[in-house]
Amino acid sequence: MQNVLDTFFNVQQMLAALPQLLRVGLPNTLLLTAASFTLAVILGLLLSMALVSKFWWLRTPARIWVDIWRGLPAILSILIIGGGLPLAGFDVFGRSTYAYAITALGIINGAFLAETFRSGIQSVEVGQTEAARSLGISGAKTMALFIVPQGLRRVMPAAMNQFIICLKETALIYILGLVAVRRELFSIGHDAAAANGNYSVMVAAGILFLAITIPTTYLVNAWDRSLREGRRPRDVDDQPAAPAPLTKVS
Amino acid sequence: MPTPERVLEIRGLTKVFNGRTVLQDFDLDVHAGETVCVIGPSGSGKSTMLRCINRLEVADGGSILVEGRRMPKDGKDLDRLRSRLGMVFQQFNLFPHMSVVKNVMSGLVHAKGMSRAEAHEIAMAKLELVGLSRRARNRPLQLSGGERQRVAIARALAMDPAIILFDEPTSSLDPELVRSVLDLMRDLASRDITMLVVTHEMGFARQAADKVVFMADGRLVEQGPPTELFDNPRSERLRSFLSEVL
Repeated sequence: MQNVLDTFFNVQQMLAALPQLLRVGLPNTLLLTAASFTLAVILGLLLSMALVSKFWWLRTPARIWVDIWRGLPAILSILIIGGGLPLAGFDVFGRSTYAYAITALGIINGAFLAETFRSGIQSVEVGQTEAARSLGISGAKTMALFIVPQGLRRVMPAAMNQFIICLKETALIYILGLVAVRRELFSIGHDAAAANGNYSVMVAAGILFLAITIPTTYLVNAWDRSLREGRRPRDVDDQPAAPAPLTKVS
Repeated sequence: MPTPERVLEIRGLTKVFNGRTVLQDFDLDVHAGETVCVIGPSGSGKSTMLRCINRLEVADGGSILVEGRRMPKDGKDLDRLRSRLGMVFQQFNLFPHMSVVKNVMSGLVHAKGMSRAEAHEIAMAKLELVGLSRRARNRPLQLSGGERQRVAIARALAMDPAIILFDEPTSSLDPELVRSVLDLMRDLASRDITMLVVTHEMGFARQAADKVVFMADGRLVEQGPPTELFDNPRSERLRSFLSEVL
């Protein structure tokens, strides 16, 4: 028992690593998450509209792309993009590991968001499209102003879930190798474990992850609940009209 | 006296769906200022016919002329011609994420490219006409069914269309809410708004229509002034239909 406590909950080691975790690890983790999720949202939106497009030459490539990046293990995708691309000569970002990492995480989570957004868009009743088109509003404007806004609102909780997943996935980028000041939470924990043969710093990193994910999960659930139970339509009777002058034939 | 302009001219409209003939050789004229009611049993093709006019459904044969112009297949021309037609749906189909007045403005701003200020003025005037200007800032979900349908009518009116198509506008309403919508439609008819109304409300058809069309099995069976059709039905089909619904 003492061994367990010492291996995972060595408070001295945790406290020693805390400054690093809070001043280097946490900001980097948050930066990575924010940047890659932003990219994921943009990609997800574009892909989702391609997935529901009437043009097969938009739909099919989008479908293939989404299926691939949803199907591959995240760590493999990160390595292919972050490690493989530079090797193959696509040295777009130079030495910046972060840029590759953000690209990879953006692509992976973007594929998942594409499916989420697509299902939201397709859940909007066809009557909405019919009403907008009947007014003479173009297909593109109908999508952009009437369908997508409604569709996105519906899947906000699911999209926020993806945010939490994206946050956790930032831990995987350690596989690309990071310089000391660029280390996110997990790599700090991992390096300490490798150096000291002790996992306490990794546990501390884990606690910091939980400090973000658990409250976010509760917030998302609360939001989801309020969306579902939200304002009910008012049951109001119309004002009674003047009595009809002629006999009703009905 | 010059004959009123033919706003809508349908010739030989035909549609087959899944092997079933939904519309067969359907002809119809609607003149400016007319109110035409289309009645008939369920599955008679009434709604399909209406939805073919603004190309929500695509007919397999025949022609549709709106203000003398053929309905284009797609693209900006279709959008333009659609803006000459108004449609009121059975399920209202208001945009729930926008206020009532924004709903009424939507066609003016996004189809006609009107400035928001001008569109707002017109929208408020139409809301006044349907008696709902006090609800301009509300969201559709806060309104009753009858109020929502009246907003939908205002939305169609705002576009100043050549003709408004009504697809069973009161069929989704609770009985006590139907009257307010029918009163409004009667008022519009008396103002010479051109209307083509698919409906089960025989009372409304009798009182407000200039012409009633009876459809069954995808065909036009009989048409004429309401008094003729309701009091002196010529076809057996119409007679049996009327005996069932009246």
